Amino acid sequence: MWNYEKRLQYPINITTPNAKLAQFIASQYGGPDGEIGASMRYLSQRFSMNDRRVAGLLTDIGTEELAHLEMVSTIIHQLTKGLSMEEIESSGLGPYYIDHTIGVWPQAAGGVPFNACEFQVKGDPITDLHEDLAAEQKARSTYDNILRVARNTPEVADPIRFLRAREVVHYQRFGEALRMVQDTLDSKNYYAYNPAFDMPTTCCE
Amino acid sequence: MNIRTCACNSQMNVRPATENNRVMQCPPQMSARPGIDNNGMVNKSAAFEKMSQIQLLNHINEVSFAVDDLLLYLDTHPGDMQALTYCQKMIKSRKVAMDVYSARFAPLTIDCTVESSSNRWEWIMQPWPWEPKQKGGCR
Repeated sequence: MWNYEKRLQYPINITTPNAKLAQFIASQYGGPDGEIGASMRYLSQRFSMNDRRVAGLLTDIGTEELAHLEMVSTIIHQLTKGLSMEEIESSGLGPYYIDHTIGVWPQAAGGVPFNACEFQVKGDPITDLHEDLAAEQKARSTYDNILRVARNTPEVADPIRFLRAREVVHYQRFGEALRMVQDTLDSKNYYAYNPAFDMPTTCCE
Repeated sequence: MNIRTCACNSQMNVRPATENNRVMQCPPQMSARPGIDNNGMVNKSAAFEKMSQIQLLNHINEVSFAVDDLLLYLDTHPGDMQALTYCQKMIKSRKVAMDVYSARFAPLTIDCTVESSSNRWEWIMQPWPWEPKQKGGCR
């Protein structure tokens, strides 16, 4: 269900390698609150959404997160291309280099490899949408942390700032989706049943 | 509906989750560019033919972002006619720009490969968007 366009959603042109920044930014690729987790979370959760609008939103935001994970991996790639062995060994990138040279591999800044434990698909629309709201805030906070360390490097800070802003917008959309789901449930008890499990899929409008 | 402009990159408005009646659009100067108006596709196409590769790609990035953002908004506000109309306008303009870009420079999608009059598979011949633009890389 995917085609792609040969352009990034926001241009990235990094002219100076920086091994430290690359290690930090790796968390937005393969870290617990990074873009791979975000896209896998939304693209997996959409199957157990009874409301077609919410399933559509999850598909569309999940797709945008695929574009974002590509942007983050591009940043990492451009920050590590052309590093000298001295820079690799003295920057702390040595252990990563041993296993991956300067390839791009999904792990967190602290070294934890990306894994499915970093996201949940509970199969309950209200639960999953709360997970999604939290995920967007966690991603936004991670970008805040990255901006503090990249504050003196505009060519890195600029695309990061764009990505951070998109997280805030996604949070807004998920809030609306949660409200949409609640509107179709009994306001005296939203938790009376799991609409994705106890009821058939509904059309909307 | 209240349309508030965003700067498309760093000055994006941060709105509380309770506000759900705003939509962002691309910078207003986009509508001041020659050819981007309501007078039909011919006008747009002529303007795109005059732009440099970077200018045209920038325009495609901007109008595509408008579509990306509106698409999410429309997922949660499917009945918003104003947003729908604006989105359709952006989609049409984007399509024209992509076709012109693909004919003049390089295809951006598989469907655009037919615009090219080249006799080789241009899809892989052009640089990939992650390639750094300075020394090194396959250019």
